[in-house]
Amino acid sequence: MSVSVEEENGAAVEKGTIRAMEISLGDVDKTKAIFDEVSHRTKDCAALVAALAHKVKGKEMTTAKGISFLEMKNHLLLQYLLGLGGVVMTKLTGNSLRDGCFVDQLVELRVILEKIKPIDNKLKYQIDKLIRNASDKQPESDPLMHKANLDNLNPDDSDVEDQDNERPSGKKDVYMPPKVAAQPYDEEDETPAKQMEKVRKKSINRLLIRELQEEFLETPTEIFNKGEGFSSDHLSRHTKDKQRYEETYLTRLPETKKDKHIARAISTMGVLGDEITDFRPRKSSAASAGKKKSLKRKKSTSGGSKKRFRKK
Amino acid sequence: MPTLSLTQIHSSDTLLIKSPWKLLNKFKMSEGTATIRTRKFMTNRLLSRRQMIVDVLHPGRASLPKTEIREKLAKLYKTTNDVVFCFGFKTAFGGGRSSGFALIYDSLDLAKKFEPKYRLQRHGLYERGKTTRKQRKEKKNRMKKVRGTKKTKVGAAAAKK
Repeated sequence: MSVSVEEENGAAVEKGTIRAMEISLGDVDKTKAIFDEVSHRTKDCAALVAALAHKVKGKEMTTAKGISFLEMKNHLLLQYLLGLGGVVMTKLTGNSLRDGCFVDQLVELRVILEKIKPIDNKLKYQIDKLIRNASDKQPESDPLMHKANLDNLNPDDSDVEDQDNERPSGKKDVYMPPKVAAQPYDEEDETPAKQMEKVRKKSINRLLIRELQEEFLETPTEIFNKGEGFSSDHLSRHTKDKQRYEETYLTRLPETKKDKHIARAISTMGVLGDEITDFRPRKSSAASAGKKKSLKRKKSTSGGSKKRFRKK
Repeated sequence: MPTLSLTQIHSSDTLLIKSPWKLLNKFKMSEGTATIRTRKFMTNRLLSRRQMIVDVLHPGRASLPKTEIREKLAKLYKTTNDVVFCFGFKTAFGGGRSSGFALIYDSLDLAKKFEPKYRLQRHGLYERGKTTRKQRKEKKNRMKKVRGTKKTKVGAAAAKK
């Protein structure tokens, strides 16, 4: 049995080698062409670099006032090329890339280059402008060369007139209402009876819809345990908020006499009836903040770090 | 029946003298085990401490004293007793469950630096001045009447009165 396994393995290895040879024979010509091209290009490049270096050494070109960002980029790209060369070398000598340090270096450099790409984009305009200034001599009449004239932006100028506010000819002192986005109308001056009626209607509507949903939809019904025994929606919300505040800031809020009285009143059964059937609209914190409480809060807030727990 | 004089009362007889309520409490306290759980654990690097919410379940007994909770937390978080500060324990309605807060500092020096003085006082690490507010204000008002180095003499002299 073991002999046949060996034979199978041998056949597989032979197949593998044949396949590899096929691939490599096809690529050898390609690599030859690429290497020729590389050698040509490097010769030209070397000539250019030698000329530049000669110029810099001979103090014909000063590199003192360059953009340091570009200098850094040059260094990074050079290191990257060296790394690439190292990778090619390891591959040619048949060593594994994992043992060498080139891949890590290349990855690091690549990450840095990608991170500085947005800075590159931002500097692109300025660099192009500098090059253009240095190379061609643009005439003074080019409007893009000049700074913006801020005096022309003066709104009190009589030449500029708002077309929308032009009065119709002949009619004077006609009131033109300002064009503002539409806002919902919040009737605050209603009698409490009317308000209660509205809220009752809304709540009944909501209940009806919810019942219909439960009946006809196939979503599972969620049953909430709204606090053992007695707790209205408002109270449970209050206690939940208080608990959340206490846990976030690791403090205990003081329980005033008022809170104690309310807690005692809640625990007596006589108050339950009103709590259940009380349909008075409970203002949200946003609405209540607008009216009276804003005046009160102006005194108390003094730029403290902790958020205040506001009792609704 | 011989009357017991005060000198004849020994320690073995103290059970008879103690009130019946205390006896009951003695038996009650050992009932049930307490469980300590921590929630919302957070490492506060700025104040070099670990802060958390502590939930204590103690069915059938009174709420645990803070010293016990400190011990248990120190064992749980592998620190010493003295850097654990717990406070704000409130028992839920009906008993059996209480929750509070705990802070575990990296070292006692940092604890002394960051903890408020009243909590350090609970651990015995800080002593508040014995002078009352009224006395301090009276001393200040006495000092207002005098100019210069006589202020110190005035303060001491009036206090001795």
